[in-house]
Amino acid sequence: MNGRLLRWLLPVVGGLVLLGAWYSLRHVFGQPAWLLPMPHEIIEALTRERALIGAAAWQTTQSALLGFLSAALGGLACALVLASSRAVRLAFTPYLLILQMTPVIVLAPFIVLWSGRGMGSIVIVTFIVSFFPVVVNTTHGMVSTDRGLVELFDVCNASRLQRIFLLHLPYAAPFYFAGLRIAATLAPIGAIFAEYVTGSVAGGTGGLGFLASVFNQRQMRAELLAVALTSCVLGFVFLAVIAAVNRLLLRRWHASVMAHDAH
Amino acid sequence: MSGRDAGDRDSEGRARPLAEPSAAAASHVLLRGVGKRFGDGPSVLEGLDLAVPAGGFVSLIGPSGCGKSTVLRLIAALSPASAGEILVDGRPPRRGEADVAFIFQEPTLLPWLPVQANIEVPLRIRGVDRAERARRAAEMLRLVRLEHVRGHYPRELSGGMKMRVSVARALVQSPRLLLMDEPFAALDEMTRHHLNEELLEIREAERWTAFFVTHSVAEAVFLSDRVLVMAARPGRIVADVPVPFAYPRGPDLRARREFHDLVDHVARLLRAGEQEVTR
Repeated sequence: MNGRLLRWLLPVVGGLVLLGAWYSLRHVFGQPAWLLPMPHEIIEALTRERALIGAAAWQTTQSALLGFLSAALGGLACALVLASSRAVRLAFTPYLLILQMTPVIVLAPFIVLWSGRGMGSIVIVTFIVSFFPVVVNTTHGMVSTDRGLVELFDVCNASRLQRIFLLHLPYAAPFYFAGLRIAATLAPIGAIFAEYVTGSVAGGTGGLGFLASVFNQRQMRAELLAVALTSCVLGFVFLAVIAAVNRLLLRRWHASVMAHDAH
Repeated sequence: MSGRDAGDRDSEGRARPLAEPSAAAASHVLLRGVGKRFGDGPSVLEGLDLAVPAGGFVSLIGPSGCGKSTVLRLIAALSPASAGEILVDGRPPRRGEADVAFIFQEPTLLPWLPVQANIEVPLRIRGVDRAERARRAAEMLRLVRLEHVRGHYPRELSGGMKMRVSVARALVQSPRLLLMDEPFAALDEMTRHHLNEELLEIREAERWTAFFVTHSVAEAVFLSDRVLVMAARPGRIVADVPVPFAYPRGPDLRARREFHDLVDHVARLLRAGEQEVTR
């Protein structure tokens, strides 16, 4: 069979298998409705609460986008500093890792303490969550610049700035975008998590995370899963946008980008 | 291969004896007792004496690890000598001299830049303005016959084409000293022959001094006016063989009896140098 057709058909088949398994939980094993809503019930809940969920999704999108963009810029700046010298890397990498290992749920109360409930805190949490993959990937790309190319710049006696802008940054571009892809999937999750723990009705609806906590308290489980479904869609949109930007900017640059896209 | 050309080259292209007192003044590149070791390791190079006049074409040949590439790196000041003295134009070499160019074994092209922009890289680093960069790059593209791929990206080119871009990039700075570290080693023999002939054609017009590291005896003899045979541990020159064939040299040289005899002779010297080490 045609490979292209298979690539479309197989996910559909997989989806049908999973849906079948889901429905069989109620109809074969007799799970009660309140324990696990069925897919059509989730769609019904989503349609019923579309105004509320839509407004919350928009709120979350803004926070996630702001957090993501600051991570994209901050991560790049941090990578530039780290890549500038081995000494700086050795001095600070362990602490960067420690910060990454620290559960955000522990940091969240402090962030709320400093910048209050609402969007500010949510953006900061989103930033922290999506910052690391950008830093780690970009630094790795800059540091692993092909030795032959570095020697070429040695022979020409290039300045430090010339090396960064003409060599290391372009070389690291695909690595940067690999980091951005991961960040793009983390940013909506980070924002929703932050809304869940820090959000309030203060500035608008409070986003999907806040809505999730409300639905949870009211035991509206189909609505809760409708929020989950919306989050997934949001994550996919983020990823798709980054993939498109990546393709647009790097299409003609690196063979590795094309190879990666082929998967 | 006219007699007139042979006469021209012989007067300025032939190896001069080291003992000559005017060696320093007449040499473009001069090495006196040069040694190199990395850290506390064994000597990579020891007691290198060499004088190369302007316009000379010297090939370095020897087993792996004999320090051929290191000689080039020392002359380009990419790495300091541990002993002895190196003079280029009568002065110790400085890294990044505008009239010294390096061609590496790999084409080392920037994959995100099209061919012409790649050729312009050294000029860009040296702050040459855009119009002048484009003019000189166009000239080089003509020289290596790659005008038709000026907008292509490196990954769209064959190995031989990439290497020609690399040669063009080295020549775009109008170097007086060209250091080549096995530039054609990764290419198939046909392509290598073509590039050898092109390199000599370009040299007819440009007249730089050349150091050429290679593993191929035939390539060394075909290109240079002097072949230095090296041995390893420590790296040193064991034979200094003048190549008497007049320039310009064409592919017909490879068919000549004298050419083959000289290749055999150098190959024997190379083997003798290796056996000396293993003994």
